[in-house]
Amino acid sequence: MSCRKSKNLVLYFYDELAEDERLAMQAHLQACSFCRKEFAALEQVRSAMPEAKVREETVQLMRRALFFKLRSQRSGGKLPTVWSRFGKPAFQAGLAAALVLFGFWLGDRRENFPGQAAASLTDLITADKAVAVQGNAVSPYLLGIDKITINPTDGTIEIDYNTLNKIAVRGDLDDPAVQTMLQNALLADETPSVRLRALKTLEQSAENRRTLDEVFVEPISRMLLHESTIGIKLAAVKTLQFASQSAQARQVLIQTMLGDKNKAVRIQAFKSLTRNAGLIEQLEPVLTRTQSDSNTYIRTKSLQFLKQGKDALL
Amino acid sequence: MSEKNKHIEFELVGRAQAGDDKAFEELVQLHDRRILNLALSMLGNLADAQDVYQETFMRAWRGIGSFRHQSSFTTWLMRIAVNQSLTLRRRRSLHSFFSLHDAATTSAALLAFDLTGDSAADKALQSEEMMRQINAALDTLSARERAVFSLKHFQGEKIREIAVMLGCAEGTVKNLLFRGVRKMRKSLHAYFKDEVDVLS
Repeated sequence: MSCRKSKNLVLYFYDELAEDERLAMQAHLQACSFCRKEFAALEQVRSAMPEAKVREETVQLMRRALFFKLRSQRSGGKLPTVWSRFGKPAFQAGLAAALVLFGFWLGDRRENFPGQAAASLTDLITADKAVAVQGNAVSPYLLGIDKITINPTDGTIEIDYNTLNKIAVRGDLDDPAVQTMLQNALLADETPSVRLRALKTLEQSAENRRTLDEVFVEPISRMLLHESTIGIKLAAVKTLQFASQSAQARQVLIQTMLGDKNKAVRIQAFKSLTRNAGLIEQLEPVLTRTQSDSNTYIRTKSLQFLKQGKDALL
Repeated sequence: MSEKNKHIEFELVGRAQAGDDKAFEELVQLHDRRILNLALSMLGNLADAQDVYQETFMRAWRGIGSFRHQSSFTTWLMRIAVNQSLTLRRRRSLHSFFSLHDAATTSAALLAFDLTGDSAADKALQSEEMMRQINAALDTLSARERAVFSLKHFQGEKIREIAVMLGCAEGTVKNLLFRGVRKMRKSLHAYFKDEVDVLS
């Protein structure tokens, strides 16, 4: 059974009919049981569909990446030749403006910027134009991060950058400048060792504090989507263990545990997820799935957790 | 878009065409959520949607000088995004490593859409199963059917605007929408039926 008006029904459903056609379809629906059924089915499809809406944090991160890329392209043509061989990811271009400026202020000295300097540095990170220093226009370009270190005793983080001079910024993990630089390092630095170092620093810092700041969950999650180096993925998954308070971190870990092709990464995701005894109960449906993992460790541990519940962690 | 916003957009476009980079960035901020959501609904994974997002705005930035207001700026931008998404989809299927069913895709989709609730793990699993079904259903659509379905269903665009974006007649859009919806309804019908059977 069918109805010749079912094509118009789709247009009615999406509110695409002219007023007279809409009224006619309304009247038709009263009389035609086939179309009523079809309409109900369309409603069912609509209710099943997720809202195609990307998280605001994702939009912000991508917008920032796009702006840096646009800005670097704008200034790209004006750069002296020597800079071109240091073409770096878009993310770093804006950051560079600040650092070049600081570089000139400092001359050849390698300097630290604690406390109050950090706030103004954060402002300067958003600079998008060449910086005028001593009458010369300096293009906002950064050569790259040299190293990231964390002081094990007081947790202070130091990030060494190369611009025209060597620059170091020092602060704790709550410092917005340090946060922004680490986020940029995670998402945009082309050198794997720098990305890894940023993660290791976060991991160590989170271990000291017993928690990972929410501002790093999104960049690490994004990073996991694109990262191809296994060592870095492992470090990312390991670092997320300290963000058990974050629903997003749990989702990412679950998806990694269920879907990653590399067994070492899956095992680490498993360990990170099951580290918190309070979560085991919530993880039951997931552990049921991981019982069929191709890896023996994951299978055995899943079974063990399911059988013993929380006691398995003791 | 309200008349006031249209006016603002018109002014921003003029300034951007005259080389005002800040004006272009304001245009990005007005439209980028929509572009990203469109790319995600057309491609089904965030990594590809990110590529389309960036490529769309880079092309718009390079080509804004040639924009002649023959359509609205929004439609022009959406048209670039739709073309980029279709191109990427074609390239993926040519290289045959693109599958809407693999775990990475589901992971990306789950990551992109807001899924927070009482039991994240439980919800993630339920949503994963639902996403798999929806992705499988979307995968039965041709590239153009999917473009129309995404623009209409997820983005709420009018058929006449979709026709401009795709460069085809409104009648063609209606046909593509009808076919797309019918396929979606058919594919998901089995899933709903199973769900009812399990419950009863």
